[in-house]
Amino acid sequence: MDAWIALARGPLFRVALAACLLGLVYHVVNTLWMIRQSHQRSTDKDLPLGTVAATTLGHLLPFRQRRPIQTIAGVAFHAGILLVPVFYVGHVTLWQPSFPIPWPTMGPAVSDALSLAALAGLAALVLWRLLVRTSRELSTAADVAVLLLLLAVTASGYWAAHPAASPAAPRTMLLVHMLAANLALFLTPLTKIVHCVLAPLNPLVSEVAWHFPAESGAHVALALGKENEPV
Amino acid sequence: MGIDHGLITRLGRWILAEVGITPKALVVATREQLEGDTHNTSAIPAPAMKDTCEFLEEDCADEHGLKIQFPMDVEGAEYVFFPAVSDYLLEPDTLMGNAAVMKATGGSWTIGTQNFDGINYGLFYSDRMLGRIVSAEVDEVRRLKARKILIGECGHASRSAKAFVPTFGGDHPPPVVNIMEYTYDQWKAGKLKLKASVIKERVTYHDPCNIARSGWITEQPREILRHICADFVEMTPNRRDNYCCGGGGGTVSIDEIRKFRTTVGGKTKADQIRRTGAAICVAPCANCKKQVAEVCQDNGLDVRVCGLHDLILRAIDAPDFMRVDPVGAGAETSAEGA
Repeated sequence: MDAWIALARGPLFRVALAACLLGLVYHVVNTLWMIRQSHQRSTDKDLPLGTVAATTLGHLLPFRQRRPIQTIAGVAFHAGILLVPVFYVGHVTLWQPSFPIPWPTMGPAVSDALSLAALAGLAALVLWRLLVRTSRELSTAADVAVLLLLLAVTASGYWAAHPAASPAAPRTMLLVHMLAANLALFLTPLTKIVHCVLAPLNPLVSEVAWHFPAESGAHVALALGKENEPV
Repeated sequence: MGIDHGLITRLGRWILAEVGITPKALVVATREQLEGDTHNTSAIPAPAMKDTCEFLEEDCADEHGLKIQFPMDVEGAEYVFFPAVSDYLLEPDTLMGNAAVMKATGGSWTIGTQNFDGINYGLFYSDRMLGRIVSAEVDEVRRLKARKILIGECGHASRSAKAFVPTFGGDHPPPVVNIMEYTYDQWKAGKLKLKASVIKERVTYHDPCNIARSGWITEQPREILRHICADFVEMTPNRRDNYCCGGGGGTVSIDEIRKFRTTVGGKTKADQIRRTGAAICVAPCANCKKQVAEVCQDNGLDVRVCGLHDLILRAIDAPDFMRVDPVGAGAETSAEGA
């Protein structure tokens, strides 16, 4: 068991983290490059950046949302899933010996509260995707699987920290937590989790996309042999 | 997530248009605008439009005691006016209100008889059609040696000009101004006098998506309405977050889906209006006016739907030169009559 745990927290974690970071950097650089290319091609280059910034903030902050259940569940889930991995003292002590930099940490009480809120939020979102017809029709199996994976990461982490409440042996639960977390990291750039870096760029992408090259319609007509075709 | 559904829909429509799947009404209207004799989506011949304007001038004098004018083909004017062409058929009070504001403020404007339609169905079609229609609009401004495009009360016409004249309008494209922006600026500058609290009915305001969703025009009409209305109430939510009337994306033109459009798509809007208890709903957009009127009708709401300038027409404190019976002249006339 110890060998498996050492593998999960050592080589597997490094591979997963590297894949995650490289993948995210690729997505961001690629998107920014495409934004630049589109903007260079557009005839009207005047971008309302203030409006774009306001729209971006409006989407990132939950205050303007009109669906209270999803908003509360979403905020609870995101707070736990983002803050606990980065600031929980049990996580920080794993990497700080290798990178001895000052880093704020959260204690078990805060971490537990955030983890439980995240679990409740995740469960609500899974149920929403499965039980509400409009959401179910728009969901793919991957959408639900990603939520279940994050649910597994969070639940196993909570149980690993609370062996008394764990349904499995503490070391087994720790291994499950590490493997699930590594898988989530690895899949981040390959699934919709990639929205963690791309969602803030969406308003800018859309604004640039609305600024067409003036000649694109003519080019399409030419390519289709329709240049002199009447309406 | 900030994913732009409008953009995705537009690209989808473009692809469908290029493979020949386009609503017949869209093809007919666009064909008439680009290749027909009338150059507008409602196929109104220029002489008929001029007759309508002359009738409106007479009607405004008779009904409102105001002398207005619709200048035609005046070269060198500051603005060329492009309302949704359907206003010439359906919205006489809006047009009279537009003309009254221009008259009262001494606005330099004209209607071009070669192209007087602000509607741009190219937005629902393809870049090619969009560009051709914008170019034709700009060509009319250049023919008349004017400087700016003045769009009437129409969200679709406003956005399609504001967003795409800079792309398809050639070198030095003319600036685009919505008539509500013009009216507000003139009022704020003191060139337009409006009577306070003269509209006694309860009034609410519907934000047309095409001018409000981006935050372009939300406050100007509200300030005017708060001034001229004794009882102005807001819908909730409003401004950028307002609900669509349910007729967006061109669906308002499809009468075959009216029941769905008004009782399913438009139900939220009906509920919103009902909660205000308003007797009048101002919807400064040709599409929204038609849709909201039908929504009210089909959802049992006794609400009058009109444009902003319909109410401005009732509230305008007209200068003497505009009055059929100038202030003081009425007393002399009465004395003479007696």
